[in-house]
Amino acid sequence: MGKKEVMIVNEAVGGGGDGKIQLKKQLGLMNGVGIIVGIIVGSGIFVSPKGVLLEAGSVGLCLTVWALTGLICSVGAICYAELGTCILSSGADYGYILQAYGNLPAFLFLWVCLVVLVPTGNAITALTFANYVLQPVSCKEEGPPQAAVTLLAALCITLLTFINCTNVKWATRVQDIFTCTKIVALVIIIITGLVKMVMGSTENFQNAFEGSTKEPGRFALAFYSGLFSYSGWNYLNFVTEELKEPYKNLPRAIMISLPMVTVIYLLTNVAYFAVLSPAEMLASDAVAVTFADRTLGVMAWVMPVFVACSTFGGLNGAIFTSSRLFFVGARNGHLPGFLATINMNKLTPFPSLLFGCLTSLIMLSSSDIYSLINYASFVEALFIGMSIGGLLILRVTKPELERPIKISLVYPIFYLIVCVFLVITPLTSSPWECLMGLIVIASGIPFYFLGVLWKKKPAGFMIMLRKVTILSQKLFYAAPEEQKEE
Amino acid sequence: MADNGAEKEQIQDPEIGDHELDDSKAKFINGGNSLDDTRVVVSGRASPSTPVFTGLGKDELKKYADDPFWVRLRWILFILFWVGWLAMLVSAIVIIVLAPRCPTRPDLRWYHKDVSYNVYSKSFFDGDKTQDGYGDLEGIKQKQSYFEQLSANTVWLSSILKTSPVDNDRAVVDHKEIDEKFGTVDVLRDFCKKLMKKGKRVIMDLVPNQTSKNHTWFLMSQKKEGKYADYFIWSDAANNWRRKDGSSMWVQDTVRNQYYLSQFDDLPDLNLTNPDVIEEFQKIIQYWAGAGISGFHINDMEMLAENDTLANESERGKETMNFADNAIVIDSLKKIVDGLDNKPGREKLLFGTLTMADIDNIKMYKGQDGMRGLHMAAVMLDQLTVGISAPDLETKLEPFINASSSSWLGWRLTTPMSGTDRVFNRVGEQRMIAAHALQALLPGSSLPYYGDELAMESGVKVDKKTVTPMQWSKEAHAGFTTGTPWLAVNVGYEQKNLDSMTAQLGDNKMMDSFKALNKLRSSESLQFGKTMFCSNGDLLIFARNAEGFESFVVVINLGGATAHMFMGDKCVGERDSAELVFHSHVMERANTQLNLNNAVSIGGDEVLVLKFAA
Repeated sequence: MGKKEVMIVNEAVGGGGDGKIQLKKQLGLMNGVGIIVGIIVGSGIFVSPKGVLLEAGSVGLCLTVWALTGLICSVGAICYAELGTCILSSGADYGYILQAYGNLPAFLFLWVCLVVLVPTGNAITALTFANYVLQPVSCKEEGPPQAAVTLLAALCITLLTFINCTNVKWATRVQDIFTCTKIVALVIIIITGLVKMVMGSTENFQNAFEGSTKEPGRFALAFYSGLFSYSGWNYLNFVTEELKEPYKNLPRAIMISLPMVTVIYLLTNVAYFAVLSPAEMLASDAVAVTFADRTLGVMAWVMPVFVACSTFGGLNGAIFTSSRLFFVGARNGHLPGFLATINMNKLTPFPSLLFGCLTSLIMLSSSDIYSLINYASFVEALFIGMSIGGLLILRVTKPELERPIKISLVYPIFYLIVCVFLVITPLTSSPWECLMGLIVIASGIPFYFLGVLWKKKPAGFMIMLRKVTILSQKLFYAAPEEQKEE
Repeated sequence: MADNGAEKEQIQDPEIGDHELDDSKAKFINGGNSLDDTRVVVSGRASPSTPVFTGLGKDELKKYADDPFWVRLRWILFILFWVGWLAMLVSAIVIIVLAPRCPTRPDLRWYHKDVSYNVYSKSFFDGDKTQDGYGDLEGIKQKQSYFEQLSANTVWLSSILKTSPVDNDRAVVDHKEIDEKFGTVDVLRDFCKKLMKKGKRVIMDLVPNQTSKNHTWFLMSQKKEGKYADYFIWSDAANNWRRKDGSSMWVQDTVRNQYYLSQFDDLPDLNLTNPDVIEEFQKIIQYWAGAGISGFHINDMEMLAENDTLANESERGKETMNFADNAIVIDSLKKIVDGLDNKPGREKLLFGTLTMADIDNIKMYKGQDGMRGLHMAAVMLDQLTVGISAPDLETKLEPFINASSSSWLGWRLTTPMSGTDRVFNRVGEQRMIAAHALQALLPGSSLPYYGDELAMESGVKVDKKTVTPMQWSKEAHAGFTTGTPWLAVNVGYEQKNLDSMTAQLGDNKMMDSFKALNKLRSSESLQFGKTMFCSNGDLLIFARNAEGFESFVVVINLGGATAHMFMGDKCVGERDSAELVFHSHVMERANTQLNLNNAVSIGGDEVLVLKFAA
């Protein structure tokens, strides 16, 4: 269990090819882009780009919001480039919060990820996947049988966990392949839309700003929806330790991915509007599928397939990155030690992956996970704000840290302002959800005192813990990570 | 799972006794080329700043790589994982295979589902600043929320075109211009677009049968100028064709020194078998579709074509009404509409009303022998009258139900132009809800006429038209205008108006049931289900059922006294419970369960709708 604050400092980039028991540096620039794009472009853009439209009220304002939110996320990502290259541990926000604010806030971040964010996120992505796979055999209105959906979601989570346990290369290849399929799907949508526009289908763009909302509250909600669709842009930072030449590849991956996603999102929305009227978009449960039904004729079936692939890839990325978070947390003594072990043959964080899989399956079997997602976004915004605030704090408290990328303070300050807005908007519009979110965060405090701070636990407990650790080690053939070379 | 090619090296196991295996078997393999042993440091021990890891180190653990117990256990778990995984996969597949087949859903268009609310534009609401006493587009815009309350997704504008003389709706003087008292094309375009964005639509009347005598086409035709010479039907002599009122259909024209055909008010009848005239209407239809209009109702559709040999008729209307050549005109108009932008969600509608609705006519207008037909044939629901009995009504309605299996009907209770009374005058207060129920629940689209939901009376007729202003409130002129209405508001509007019929403590039966019936139409069985009649005594009963969906049984008591319905009735079958989803007189009883083991009693003039599980 944790004794001292862990100081994670910059380390020289070691080659990944030696035989040490550690997570190897296997991710190149393209893998990095694959992870960011793969996670951001989950199912959202295919399923429900209507949140923005609903609140914005007009096509023009809707597209503007998409562009602006992409820009804002890019600013956030620039901040994460500094954080990620300065604090080179995997686990992203966890590491940054730990450095800037100390143990308790970092533990709480870990806690929230563990009990809500990761399992609900994974469960919902898996359910979306299952729904789309079953689309061809399901009835239009009633949807596929629920039991089959849940089973398929569980199959998907376990299969991906298996792949991630077996081989990092496989996992990244899955990520690359499925990121490609979703880009292909979006390119199909974009090209189809552009063709329709050239053929004169532009009536939805006439007087594009007519009907724009004038209420600041709804404008804020439109923004909030937009930002939510970009969430995931910080996920590459969860795996920095496995990135080859992180100083080069982390910022590059960020700088390639975010403009790419922004452009893709914008064009996809333009394509949607070329074919569907705002009313039809709002009425559709799966905009991309409705779009395909309208335009692709006999090939319309490819769209549910692509959406399924996209969610599959998104889930893979989430499983990959979240296991690293638990791993790092355990390494720092915030979670039981066995979670920080690595299978000696496969060099994958076996126990941590299984742990994530287990929590996701538990969440899957609970009936109302969709209500949890309501406060997940609020909590996420809160912690991202803290991380970026941490950037400023670290500039003051630890000026000596090596910062390969040192950005202008304009960026973090700008993003902090956005975060304040992101946190305050839901506080006024849905205070109950926010309160629940805060309660979930606070519920980690007793666990922190019991699990982390309380050093003199009863001997019996310590022995049992050790036995469990050893059992898991033997079972998974997993040893703790070896220190990297000095 | 083992490290191959490594050399043996025994390491002391700190966990002796941790399991029952003989430790001597756990001799371990380590080193070799693949692992650089000398550099291995277990993190927990090596760095004081890292939390102490209490488990096994790498070297201690390596013993268990090949330990048969753990190897076996790992294999068992591995196999169990895949067995479990495959079992889940198989059960998922089984669940899907065993899931009930999807019920079929026909590909319905908006006009199959929407309630299209027909407003006589001049009489709906005077909403502009001038308050000239004429209803206008501004007024219709202001009443959008009212359409929403009625679940009417489509607004059907009647009589908006520019006419001369002004009050004759048939005397169109420019088919591309709207009456200036009503509004402008730009305002209409804007209105259509706003509604379209909300998934709602505007449809309008097309007036192709005749024009005003001041229409440029007629003025040119009188002078026999170029193609216009044959735009109308000219003859040197009058034949025996007579109008409804007995007068001759031929009007002598002193300019051209010929007779021209005129079926209404001396207005010249267009020659719709002339391709040039059809081309004019192509431009007109394209013009309005471009302005955002989603559908066209062909006014006086039954009179479009006449026998071009101008042969004397043996019976009034034989050569002029529902004449066979009408199919050709409909075919040309439909071809125009089919050529419009019909993208999904933007499909355009072409329909017309049959005042003489018989099955042969419906067949003709729905298209036969390779001719294109209407999307929808609107018929007058005039079978329901004050005294008609349930069996008689069933006999009259049944042919339509059978015909509708191949063609889509729209039900109208009142039309402004036919010269007939409003439905209220035909069926009386008692049967108004029954009339609304038939309009909403018989197979086909519902086309209510403004004011019928208030049970408005015909009132003063202008040129036989039933178009008195809408009764909004008890204020002066029923709240229709603050100026002087172009036509006097019905007597008694102080009691019968929208405000009083939706007031909190008033008798809201009429309005509530109208709204509730329209809401019911969102159910699949009522949209496209089969219909079966099984009337019994005073009770008109019919069932609507689409395979795989909740089905409905509609019960209307056309007698004055309470009647009973029993289980075992043809429409109910052996099902012993139903949900009562609509009760015309006691709205509170809606959404309660009915036990059909007991007889259901239905009071005089009551309407009940029962819902059965799929």
